[in-house]
Amino acid sequence: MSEHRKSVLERRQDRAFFRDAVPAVVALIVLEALVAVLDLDAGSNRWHLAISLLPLLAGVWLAWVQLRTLRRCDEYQRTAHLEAMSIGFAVAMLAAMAGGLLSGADVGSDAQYLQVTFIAGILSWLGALAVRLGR
Amino acid sequence: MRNRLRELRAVQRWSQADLADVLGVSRQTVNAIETGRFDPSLPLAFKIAHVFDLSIETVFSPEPDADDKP
Repeated sequence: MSEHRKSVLERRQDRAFFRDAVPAVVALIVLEALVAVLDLDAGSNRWHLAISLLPLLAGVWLAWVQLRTLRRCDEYQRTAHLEAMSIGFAVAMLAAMAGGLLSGADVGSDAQYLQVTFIAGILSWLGALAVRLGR
Repeated sequence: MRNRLRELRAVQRWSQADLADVLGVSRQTVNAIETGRFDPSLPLAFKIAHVFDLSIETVFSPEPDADDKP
């Protein structure tokens, strides 16, 4: 009796997740690389500004993947996902608040605080999810 | 809420994944119910009772309230 075999539902969820997420992640990588390779002057050129915001499309795509993942969850998984997202949101809010306070005190740069807020939110979200669903 | 899920599953010689397949849920859900970390919804509780051919109150029972103690 293997206690760690995945159930049929989980295997179906995994397949659906990869089918949804892989193209979105590839699109994000391609668009980020495109923006990094092109020497864009988003401040003075409207087209450059539009191109520099292109990775946002992949971000929206990933948000849609997350929504579909949530819809495929059973009741315990959905609770775990929503709790993990709440923790990620709380951490991101706290990081944003800390960044705002430090920025107000002229410590560090806003760009760094944005990156730290984003990364802290994502990592705490995924970490909380791994703890809840990893048993 | 207390439950006899682990005991009933052992009688059937089912793994958590086997029971999860019968119920159409994830193995994590069965594990969370067994360990008391998650109380199932009423439809799932009825489904669990039906799988073992028992009444819902035979599988699940309320935790004794601290106030009920003498």
